[in-house]
Amino acid sequence: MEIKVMKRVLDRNRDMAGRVRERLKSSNVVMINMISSPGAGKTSMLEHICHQLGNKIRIAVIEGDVATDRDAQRIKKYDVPILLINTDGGCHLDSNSIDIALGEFDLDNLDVMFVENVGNLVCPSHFDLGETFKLAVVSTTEGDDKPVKYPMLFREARAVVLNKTDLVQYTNFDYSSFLSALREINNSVPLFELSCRTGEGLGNFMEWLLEETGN
Amino acid sequence: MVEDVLRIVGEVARVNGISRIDKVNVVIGEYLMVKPSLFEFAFMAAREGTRASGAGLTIETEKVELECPGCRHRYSPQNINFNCPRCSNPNPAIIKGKEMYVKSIEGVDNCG
Repeated sequence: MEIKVMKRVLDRNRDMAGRVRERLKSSNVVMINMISSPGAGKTSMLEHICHQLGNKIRIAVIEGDVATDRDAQRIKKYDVPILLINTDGGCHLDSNSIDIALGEFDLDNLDVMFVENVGNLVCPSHFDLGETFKLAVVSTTEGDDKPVKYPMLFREARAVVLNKTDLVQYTNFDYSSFLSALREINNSVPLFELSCRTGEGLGNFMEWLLEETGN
Repeated sequence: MVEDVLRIVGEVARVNGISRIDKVNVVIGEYLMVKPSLFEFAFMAAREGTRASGAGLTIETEKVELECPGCRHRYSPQNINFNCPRCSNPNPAIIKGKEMYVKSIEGVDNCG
């Protein structure tokens, strides 16, 4: 016998994400879901954000990592509330793990919650965490084809960061190809070109971040 | 995603008294860019020890369908550019092809 089901697979995650969103809204906290490939520079960006904005806004961090606490250790020295979620091999965070994690924070005393998702450009784009917006981070050393290969993230991100601009001369990164693909997908998304290593371009991003989070 | 499919399938089988699931029929929207062969591979690995341990899988892909908020034109994008082909509006609504859902299951109920 055949039984019609017609049940959406991501509904459970989506429902919980809605609850997370309400919870954050009631405490007036902006949550940013940072998505990138492994090694694009999410943790380095978070280090700069904590260092430069830690005395201006109340920051907290949720670190998603497949197994280790290496990224969390890097953020710890900035004295911001931080929680590590090990996914035990899972390639993305989901809204249920975020909902549980939020219970560990004093939300009424926070302005911005950064979620460093597991390094992966595919699955994290599918799972709504209840974030206020997604931030896509790519780097010149990954190649220029990321927007073409993973358009979903670039279509949905509130902003795109292109990191490691200082290394572009050592790569075959084709800037015009990257930019034209990005603009084909999302003509209006802000693009921040920067280097976490030299600090170049970070100022513009920090200004935008403060404005976008209402601070 | 595969785990969520198996969770849904298990619940439906339990509620409907299905003792053996022979086939699971899934629809995957193309917007998700989930490769059917990889999904099937993951399904076959994850089904062990579940009510669907002997079940086959069929995957139907669903094309992306967009609607322009300006001129209401409905269309399927031909490439990564989703802009409306009639009025160039860059913000169409995705009305189809963004979801993954369990369409149906086939099996044998407790009465045989």
